[in-house]
This record gives sequence, structure tokens and C-alpha cells, in this order.
Amino acid sequence: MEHIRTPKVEQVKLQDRFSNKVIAGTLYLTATHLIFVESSSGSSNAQEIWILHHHIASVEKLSLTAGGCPLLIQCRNFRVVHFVIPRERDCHDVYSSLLRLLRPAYYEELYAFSYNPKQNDQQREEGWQLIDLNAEFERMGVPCDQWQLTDVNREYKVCETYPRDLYVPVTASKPIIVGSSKFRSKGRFPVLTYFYQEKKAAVCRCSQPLSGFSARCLEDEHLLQAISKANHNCRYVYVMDTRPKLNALANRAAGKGYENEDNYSNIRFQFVGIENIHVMRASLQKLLEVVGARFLSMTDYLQGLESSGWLRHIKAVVDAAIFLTKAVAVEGASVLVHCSDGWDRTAQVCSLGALLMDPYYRTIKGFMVLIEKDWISFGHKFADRCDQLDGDPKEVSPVFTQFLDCVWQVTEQFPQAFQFSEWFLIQIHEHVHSCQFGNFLGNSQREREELQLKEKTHSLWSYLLAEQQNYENPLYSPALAETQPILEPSTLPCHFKFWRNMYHQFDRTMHPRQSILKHILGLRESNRELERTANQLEAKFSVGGPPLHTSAPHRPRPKSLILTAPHGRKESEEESGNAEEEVPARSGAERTVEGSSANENGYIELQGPFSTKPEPQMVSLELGVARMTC
Amino acid sequence: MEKSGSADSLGSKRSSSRQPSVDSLTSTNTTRSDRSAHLRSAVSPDAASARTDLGAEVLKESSRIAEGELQLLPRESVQDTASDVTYICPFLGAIRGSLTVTNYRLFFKCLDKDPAFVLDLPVGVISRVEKIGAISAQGEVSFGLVCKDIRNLRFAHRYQEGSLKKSIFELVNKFAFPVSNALRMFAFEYGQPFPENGWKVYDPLAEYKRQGLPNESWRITKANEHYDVCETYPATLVVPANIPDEELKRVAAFRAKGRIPVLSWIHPETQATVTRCSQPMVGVNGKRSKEDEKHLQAIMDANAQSHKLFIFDARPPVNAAANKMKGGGFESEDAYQNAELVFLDIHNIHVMRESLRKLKEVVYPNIEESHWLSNLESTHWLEHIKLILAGALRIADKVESGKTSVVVHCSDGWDRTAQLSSLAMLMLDGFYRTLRGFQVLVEKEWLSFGHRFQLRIGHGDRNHTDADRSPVFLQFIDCVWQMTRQFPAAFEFNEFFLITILDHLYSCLFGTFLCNSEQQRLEEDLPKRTVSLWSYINSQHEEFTNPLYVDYANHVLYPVVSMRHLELWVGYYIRWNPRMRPQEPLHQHYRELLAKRAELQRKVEELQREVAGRAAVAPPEKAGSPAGSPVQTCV
Repeated sequence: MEHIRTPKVEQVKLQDRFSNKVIAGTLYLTATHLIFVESSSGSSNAQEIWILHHHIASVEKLSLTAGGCPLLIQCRNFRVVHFVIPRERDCHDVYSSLLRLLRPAYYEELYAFSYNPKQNDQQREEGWQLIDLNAEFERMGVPCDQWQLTDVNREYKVCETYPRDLYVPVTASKPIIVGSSKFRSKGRFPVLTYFYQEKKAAVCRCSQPLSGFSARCLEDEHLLQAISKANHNCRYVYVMDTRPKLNALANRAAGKGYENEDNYSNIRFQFVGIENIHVMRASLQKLLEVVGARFLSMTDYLQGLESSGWLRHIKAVVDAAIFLTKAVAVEGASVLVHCSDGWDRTAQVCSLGALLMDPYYRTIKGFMVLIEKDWISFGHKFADRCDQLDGDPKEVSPVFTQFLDCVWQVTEQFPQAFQFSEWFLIQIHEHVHSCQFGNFLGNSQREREELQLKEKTHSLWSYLLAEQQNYENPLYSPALAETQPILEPSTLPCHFKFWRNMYHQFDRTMHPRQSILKHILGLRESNRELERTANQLEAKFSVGGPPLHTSAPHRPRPKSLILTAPHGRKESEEESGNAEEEVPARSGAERTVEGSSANENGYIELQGPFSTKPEPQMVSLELGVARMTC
Repeated sequence: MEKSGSADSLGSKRSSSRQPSVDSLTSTNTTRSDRSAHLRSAVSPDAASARTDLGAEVLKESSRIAEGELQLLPRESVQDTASDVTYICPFLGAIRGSLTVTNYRLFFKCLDKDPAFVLDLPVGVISRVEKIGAISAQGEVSFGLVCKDIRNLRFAHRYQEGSLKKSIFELVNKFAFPVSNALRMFAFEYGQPFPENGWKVYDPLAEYKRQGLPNESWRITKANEHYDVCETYPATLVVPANIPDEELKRVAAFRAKGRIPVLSWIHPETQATVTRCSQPMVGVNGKRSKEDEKHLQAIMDANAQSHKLFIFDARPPVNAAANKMKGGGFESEDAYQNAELVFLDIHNIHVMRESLRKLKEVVYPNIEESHWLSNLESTHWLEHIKLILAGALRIADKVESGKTSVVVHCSDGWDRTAQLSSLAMLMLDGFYRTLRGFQVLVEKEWLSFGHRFQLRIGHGDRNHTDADRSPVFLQFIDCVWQMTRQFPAAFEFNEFFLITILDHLYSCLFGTFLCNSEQQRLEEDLPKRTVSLWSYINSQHEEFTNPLYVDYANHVLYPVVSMRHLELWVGYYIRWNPRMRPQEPLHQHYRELLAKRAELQRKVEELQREVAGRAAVAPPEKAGSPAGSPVQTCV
């Protein structure tokens, strides 16, 4: 490509963020990736780092040092790499090339349009057909006698950021819908997003009304009335404005605002107080600054964590989702959720609420459906929020990251309730920003159709489902969904934790020494293996002894970007795995040191081979434990 | 990780739970034993039948309060019952019920509530009983019970002043502080027989033999047999082989309280040692002691791998220097050739007590939502934990990677020194990470080396403001918990084990933590007159075992002492909060997996034997077939 002036720089040093470790290697710049390859020191397992250009959030040239010119690259998947390039000219070339490459001006330049896995067209189409939202509404029991599918938005005429297929109360006629949409920001009128069949209670979503100080809209009032009437269990409808009251008031001055309880019959209005996208952006930035500090005292850490407000914001979203869940599942009331435009906080609250209410969304497939429904189809502006194209930096915000964080917090409290593990969330996060798959490109369904994504790109969901076993939570207990369908997370502040495996996913030194998850996976794998052996042996008796070797259906694990379960491999292959995980039972007196950093990595570098990292034999003593020399 | 089973009201709202809402110490056992009994039958029937030894069962039965009934322990007797008492629960509001006081516990129940509410705590946990305010208009008196396990309880009951009958809280006051009231502690009454005698868990000679001692450089001495070299040390000591007994007394004269440098642990390969002592009596004039210098030189010489000796002074340098005014101090590098002195900046018992007091304010009863983290920060609790772990890590690293012997001391060598040496040993030696090994560690480094439990905890003593009280042992257990978090498969015991130790640290049901030194314990004849906590624990050990445990015996564990990896032990400090829901029984899941594997393994082995028997000419088994390979020990 014409932007790449220097495709290869040798003798580049990679500095670890939290230790003094330095790796020398070669830097390659390709059309899609920035690649660092460790100069192999004789061993075959040289470290490779692949960074997709779209993942890069910022590139910074720091001031020249004796060792060369430092280049600091921060990625949206929370990878931070610090290169030192010997010659300043090379550094500048890489720098300016990256600046051009990292944010293309047109969608067509995104990786998804050139990404080509070994799939034929049919497989690709099947991938896109995996999730059918109409089937999802059917699963909820819609259409029914109170709710119907409307074709009012078939041509995206009423609301261009909504999907074509929308569900509304049967009593809401087209003129009412059109009238209501004119009274709502961006035309996003109240529509159904989740139906709680057991109590016939609906979760609806919309944007703020254009009420200003006194404006009314009879059609809008009528539509809310219709939503209320569609639920015979409860006389009133909750209207949740997810904004802080102050923000809503400020919007009123701009001719927008919130519902006046006097004008709408039978509504119960409630502010929830989730801050806006700008606050969230600043908050995450502050959080990353705090945890990115190399030397972090306990005071800095705890106070920094608190002052970043990130966990507080997470709690606000969870609180709102709990409110929604209680209103719907306990009271049996229908709820209308909105914020300003109804595509950020509204998406967070509706989807998290549904996750707490409906065990289906806690399965791998169900979670995909949930994201597809509440985020993608209802027009969360992924392109703007994730900075896919060169756009307005003020539109960028970690709203979706925050949602994933909320889900993770709930999974921590209910480790048996989810079919997926945190790797699944992290992998989704990875690809929301990678622009490798078509799912998250663009800002709305309409844009996606115009881009012909289904013809030109691949779907993430089929890719994830193909390696589903890597994302399974071994503790998942489907029976629990029967006895305890509704989750009610605790909101004690000590239950909101910093998600280390997300924000430090690329910092080896921060990884846990041993993970329980891996132990269980290993145990399960070995049980499966045993079962196979037992079956083989039994078969041998019955058939009369076919040789044991033939029937070993050892399915190789698909290569994945994120590796969660290297255990299964270890048993079948040679004992070449991580020294740390092996049981030293047979090696009599050999002493092993635990707790050097890297080997217990649940992750593997992008596109890299399986865990082939050299295991540092040195012990890294962190913080406050200055290394003493003898 | 497992949370204590402190059941709560929130949990019970969920339809499935039928248990009464309990909020007590022993109830923890109950919920747990219910579950484990359940498990046992599910997992392996033969194990269950083998384990119906009377002792454990009886104790379990007696602590069973599932029906809200008080079940007395052997020789426990009801002293009084007051029927019209209100428990002012900080979470559930006022609850009216009846309060029973025995010579061991305080038992409050309210059966009107659904589920029944029960509060059951050993009176030993109480550090203070105070009357709050005057008699109210309704004729009620309020009493507050400040507990050692982070709780504060408040009761009110109708009581006429001047009436002949004493308030039931005066009885609490009496039995909670037997020492102050010249009564016998309940530990001396309680005579529950157990199938195993926990007093025999630790045999110093066996433990030193396990370490390979005596050897050519180290000898076991009986010089302190009558506790006349050092009365706070154990009778059996390990000292450098070339230091005769007579010289030990002269060394003792130069060390605070006579606590001379003795061996705690020796590296099986490099012979590097962890030795412990108290501060040298240097004083302002910089006194020296030839014998002490020779003693340390001998410790260094015993390790051929290194020509250096590290002296870790646990204190901040300022405190160490201030001790010179009181005749103490620290080793000067001039006097001790080849020794390097390192200060570990760990604060004294008073700072720790204050830190825990602040922590209690922050976590009990309610947590302030908006400033949780900065409030937590202001207690400095985690910072102290971090410093202790960091210190232990440096010691372990010096011994393991530096192959250098270390001497650890603080002022008297029974608080911070015990924390550091025991944690370093826990990192270095996998034996101490087993259920029994940990008991040995506590018996050795804490009990036999004279951590002053009686003074630090104040067993049965009314004087709650005593400046000698300090949560030193709690901090140690907290550090252990932090390590188990980082290495969930390296410890044979689980979180419940640690919590049980802490609960019985205060309960005074067992004799284990009574008295201040080995000598006192022998004088009181505790092994004969009381029951050891380890008897109880080892008689039902599977409740305390970690199903994830893999024998990492030869691994050295280096925890990360970064803030990102240390966290508040909410399962202990916040366990009374009903919003801390008991976590889903993950461990049961693990256990099921393990049981299934054992069963499969048996089956495979059987089948293979049969195969081998039937067709001796059959081709050899597939290499790496899981059945035969030792990989199956787990991972």
C-alpha cells in the first residue's frame, strides 16, 4: 500500500509495561497489521505480536532516548506496546504510516472487506442466517393477541436508525405511530424489545420526547396508553429515564426532555441516573491511566479506582437493570426505557435487564441474539462509538465495553448461571473493535444494508460458534435456570470489581498465577478422555478386539485467537506444555518456582501459534519489593 | 472461593432455602456440615460410613440448630433465659425473641419470623458488654456487645431497676470474661472426645527430622528444656552445631527476652536457613556481644552456598532506631561481618489494631456506597497486608533464589517475626500448604515460639482497652487467604478452614490458642485438660479440604504483592452482611467432577486388567493412554 514507507524495521526493542523486560525483534508493517517478531534466540518459540491497525487507538512518538526513538501504541483492546526504534527516521516512517492506516476514511477500507477465512459463500451466508430476530420475538411469544409486527418502518421512512421489523401494541395504529415518532428524538418511537411472557409485561424502548417545557403529543400519549393497556396485569407503566435528572432538565431547555406525568395517564416516571457518553469516556480513560501506572501504591490504586468513577458507573447501569427486572418480573408491570437518543444507555439497560430476567440470554447463542437485537438492530452507533472511521472523537465512548463489564460483574456473582466464560465477552470485545467481521460495522441496520455487509463480509457469530467449546463456562448449570430464572445481583460496592482480565489482558505480569477455570476445564477434559478409553475398552470386549489405536476420535481444538483450554491438548500431546501446570509428582526433589509471570496466560497473542512463549525463569518482584542483589 | 455459609435473609427469600436465617458462628458449621453430609453420601458411600466416628458427629449434632433449637455441647449448661429480648439487627431491624445464656454461648432466637431467626455466638467472641443509655420510656435497657469478629450486636430488654433478678446481660458479662471473674474457661469444661488427638499434630523432633535435621551443621538442643534460656521459646531448639549450650545463654543475654537466633526452616537442597530471634540489646551506646556475633557467623557458615547473611528487621527503620533508647536496636553491619541488614517497614501492633478498628467501621454494619474504595484505603489494612506479604516474599526469594540464609526479627520476635517466618515457609515448603502441614506451621511458628495469643486476643479478659491486643494472627491468616486466591490449587485447605481457625481463635472452645507460650501451656496442662482445635478439624477434614488441590509440594510460590492482586477478604470481614449472599456451591461441582474421575479411573483400570488377562498377546496399550499415566493426578 502506498502509505507504507518502511515495511520492515530491525533491531526494535519491545519494553514490557510493568517490568524491566525488554525483547528485541523485528517490526513489520503490513496493509492490515503491525507485526513484531522476536528475534529468535535459537529457540523456535519466538514471541509474535500482531496488532490490527483498527485496534490502535493512538500512536505517540515520545522524546528521543539513548536507546532510540520510543513509540507508544495504545489499542482499543487495552493492549499497550512500547517500542524503541533505533533510528529516528524509521520511527517517524512507522509513525506516519500508522497514522494514515489506523483510521480509514471509508468503510470499504476496513479489514472486514478484505478478511477472507477459508469459507465458501454458502458457509458465509449460513453465518449470517444464524440469528433471526423474528424467531427471537416468536420465542418470547410475540406476535400475540396484544402485540403485532408492524411494517411502518419497512423502508426506514419513520425512523432510519431502527430496524425494519418492529413490534408494537395491536391497538397502536399507523397514524399514532407516525405521530409519536415525530415527537421523539430521531424518530425513535416506543417499540417492544422484550416480552416477559409469564406476566405479559413488555420492555419497550424509545428516545426522549420533544416535550420542551410544555409541548404535548396526543399520539405519543396514545401509544403509551396502548402499551399500558396491552398488559392486563398492571394498571401502570413505568417510564425509566436512564439519565440523571439534571441532564434531562438541560435537555428540556433544548426542546427535548422527559414525559410529564400529568399528560400521560397511568405512568410512573423514574430517573435512574446513568451518566452520558462523555463522562463514561473520561472515566475509562482515567481508569486506564490509574492501572497503567507502573508503580502503583495502594493509595494511588484505591483512590484512583474510586475517582475514575468507573465502578460507580457500572453499578449505576446494574442498578437500573435491577430496577427494570423487578418492575417487569416481580411487579409484572410494563416498562418504557429511554435516555436521550435511546441507543446508548437504553441499550445497556434493556439488554442487561433482559439478561437478568431470561436465562436464554445467558447462553452463548442467546447472548449473541441479545447483542444482535438490543445493540445492532436497534442502532447502537458502533461506527461512531468504536471509532471505526475517521470521525468525531467526541462521539467515541466505551458504552458497549461498559455493558460487557456489567455482564462480567454479574457472571462473577452467579458463576453457574452463564453458559459462557469471560473469554467469550473478551473475544466479543476484541471483534467489536477489530472490524474483522461485518456485524458491528456502521451505525444502523440501514447503513449495514447499504454496505451490503452480508454479501461482502463474514459474520462473527458463526466464527465464535465454531469454537464454542473455548468459550464454555465449565461451571454452567442449566438446571439452575429452572429453579432460579431471575438473577438479582448484589449491589454492595465491594461486589463491583476491577476486571483485570479485560483491562490487563495483554499484560502478562498481571495475569493470575493459577486459574480455577482452567483446572475445571482440565478435569473435564480428562474425564472425557477416561470415558473414551473406557468405552474403547468395552467396545473391545463386545466386538472381539479391534485395536485400540484406530478409534481415537480426538477432535483437535480449533485454533482460536484466544486460547482458554490448553489442557486437553496436553494430555494427548507430549508433555510440552507449561511447566507450571504440570504436576511435579514424579520428579522427586526438583523444586520449581511459581509465580514468575508469563506462563499461566489464558491468552495467546493474536494469530500466534499455541502457547509457545519462552517461560521466563526469573522471578519478577513487583512494587515495593525492590530486587536486591547479593 | 467459598464463602462462609452465614445464611441470611436475602438468600432465604429465594424459594429454595428452608433454613432458618442464622447469623452466627456455629451455624456456619451447620450449614456446611449439612452440605458435606449430603455430599459425602453422593460422592462415595464407603467414605461416608467410614467417617461416622462419634466425636465429629456429636459436635456436629450439637451445633445443629436447623430447627432453631439450642443444642448444648457436653458440659454446657443453660444459665438463664430471658424471653422478652429485642435484637436490634442492623440489617433486618428489631427482632423480638428469647435469649439464652450458657457457660459457652449466647443464643437468641425468634421463631415468629419466617424463616426463624437464630443468633448463636460463643461468648468468647465478645470483647465488651456495655449498657447504652438509660432506661427508655418503655422500661427497656439497651446493651451493646462489641465482638472480636467484626460484629457489634445490640439488644434491648425490659428490665426493672432495683428488681432482685439480675439482667441477663450481667450473666453475659460474667461468662464472657471468665478470666476477669475468676471462672474457668469453657475450654476446660468441654471434654468432647474426638477420634484423633490434635495435640499430637505437632511433634518438634518429627518436624525437624522431616526437614533433615539434625545434620552436620545444625543440632537439636535441649538447652531450653526447663525454659531457662528463654521462657517464651519452646523446649526443643535447633542451633548451629558448633555453638555449645553454655554459649547460648550468653547470646540470650544479648537478645530481647532471651530470644536467641534459632532455626525455623532449612532449604532441602541449598541448606540456606530461615532463622528467627528478637532484637539485639544494642542500646544507645552500641553494645556488642562476641557470642552473638559468633552465633550469627555460625548461622552463615552453616550454609556453604553463600558468604553472606541477610538480617531482615521487620520494623520501619525509625522504630528500630527508637528502640535503642529502650536498650534494644538492630545489628550494625560493622559488628556483623558479611551481614546485610534490611528493614521491612512493617508497623507495630498498635498501628495494626488501629487499622482493624477503622476497617471495622468501614465494613460493619453498612458499607458507604459512594466512598467505599477511599474509605477502605483510609484504613490502610490492605497496605499492611501488602507489606507483610512483600516482606515474606523477599525472605523467601533470598532463601530460594539467593541461596542465602536469613535472620528475621522485629522487637520481641513474636509478632511480625512470626508472620514473616511462617509466610515465607508457606511459600517455600509445600508441606505447610497441606491441611496438616498448616497446623504444624501454626503450632510451630506461632504457638511454640510464643506468639502471645492470650494477650493479643485477650481471652476471657474484660479489659478491652488493653494495649497488648492486636490482630497480628488475623493478619497472618488474611495473608494466607491472599495467597490461596492467587494459587487456588496449591493449598489443601479451603477458605472455610481459615475462617474456622479464626472463629475458634476467639471462641475459647478449644485449648489450642490459650496462654502465651509453650511453658504456660504445659503448666496449665492444656493437652490433658482441653481439646485441641485440630482434633475437631482433623476428625472431619473433608469439610476443610480444597477439592482443587494439586500436590505442588516442590513448588515455591511467589505471590504477586501488587495492589491489583490483593483484595479485601470480603468472605470474612463482610460475612455478616446479609447482602453478601453465600456463593453458589462451586466446590460441590469440583467434587463431583473429581468423584466422577475416580470412578472412571477405576473402571478403566478394571477393564484394562481384564484386557490384559484375556489376551496376553494383545498389542501394548496406547502410549499416553490416560488410564495408566500419572498425568491423572490432576491439573
